[in-house]
Amino acid sequence: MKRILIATAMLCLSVGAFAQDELLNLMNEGNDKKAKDYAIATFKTTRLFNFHTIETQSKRTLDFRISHRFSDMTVKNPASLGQTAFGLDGSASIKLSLEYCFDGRFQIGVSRCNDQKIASGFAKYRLLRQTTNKGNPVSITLFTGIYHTFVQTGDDYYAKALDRLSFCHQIMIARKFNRRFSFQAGLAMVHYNIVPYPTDKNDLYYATFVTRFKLTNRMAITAEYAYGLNNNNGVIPTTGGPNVPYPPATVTNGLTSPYYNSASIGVDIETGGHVFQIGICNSYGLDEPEYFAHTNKDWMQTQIRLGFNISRVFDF
Amino acid sequence: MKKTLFAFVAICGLFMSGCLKDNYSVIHPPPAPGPPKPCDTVSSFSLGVTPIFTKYGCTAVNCHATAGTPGSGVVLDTWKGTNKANNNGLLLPAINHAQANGNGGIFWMPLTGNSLTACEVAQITKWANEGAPNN
Repeated sequence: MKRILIATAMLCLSVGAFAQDELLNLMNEGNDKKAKDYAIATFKTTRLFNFHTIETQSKRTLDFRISHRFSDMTVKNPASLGQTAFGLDGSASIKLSLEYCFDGRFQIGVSRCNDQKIASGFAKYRLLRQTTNKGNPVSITLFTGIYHTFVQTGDDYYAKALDRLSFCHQIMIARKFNRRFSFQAGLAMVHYNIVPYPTDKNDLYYATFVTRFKLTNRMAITAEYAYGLNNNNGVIPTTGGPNVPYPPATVTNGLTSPYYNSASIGVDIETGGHVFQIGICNSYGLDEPEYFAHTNKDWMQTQIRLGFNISRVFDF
Repeated sequence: MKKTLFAFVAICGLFMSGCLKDNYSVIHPPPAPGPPKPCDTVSSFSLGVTPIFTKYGCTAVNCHATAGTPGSGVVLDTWKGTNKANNNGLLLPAINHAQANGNGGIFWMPLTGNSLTACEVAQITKWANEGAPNN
């Protein structure tokens, strides 16, 4: 009898212990769920300056964006302050875009840019979101874009309608290290349906780097850089061939070294419902195939230009 | 989440369906050089012979123009002068370089050192052989 009582007591205790464990687990799970906070605002908006960031808009919001890039600042010539107001007088590229996010993860957009007369569409998907405690240490976003140029070349360069298309696919990985500092690295692929010269590649790859440092709650400094992994540089003959519609080449010794890596520095300023982004970059184009692949100006020669983006978000 | 991820993948697939890999220089190769053009030997003084003299500067003043001092007294800017040079046997030996330079006082022309092309020599020779018409 005594043995039976002891065995029953032990069983009760052990069941009690299990129950307690389960309760603790449940509580922990509850805590985990409650504590699974996503790192918000890794970057201020969906673009850093030219490049896309991992950010998508919030659920059911429409973003109207206006982007401008002015002419070369010609900083080496101080007289240009009066002549061109550091490029503000010159021809500017302008892009208007309308972008909608369905659920905070999936975003689509359409845009038009006067540079190369490109109409484009894109889709972006936020695959993984960084959490502040355990879970995901990084955010991952996928991007795909399609670009149609309406430029008339005067020859049969765009003989097929599909030749007017180019594409960009990107994977972006970012981490918000602390309240101030965020960093993003990614891989971008630009595809042209047609290229002009025998040695040109249809597929170009870029390693992209984007960073932000927050100065105050409403202001941050930003920088971005794309490193061309397989540029077409230095192989384009200067005579013959089609009327290539994109920016002209810089000629050296009968060959061209036309394209440089795109880089920008800028400032994000948040005001009310707008985000202003003001910066300096060496790219004129505002679409991915243009600024990644056709930047024909060089930072090292101070061939830089001013630009700004304005973003206005509408909630539905 | 699954629906929107599927939508994103579908859009990627749609975009990729429009993908081509064209190269203009492959689609439009430079034209292959054709056979050499046959020499058009029109027997004409004004259309065949004079343009060749003009091209090589033969009719410049103090070369073989009527004005100035024409070399060896040969005048090539008129039919009369050219016909005379031909009749005197000075024209063809100077341009076809068949004999040594300076032989018989006839020097290879043009003096600049550029020879007439075979076609140009043939053209002038044909005109001379057909009686050097003033046409």
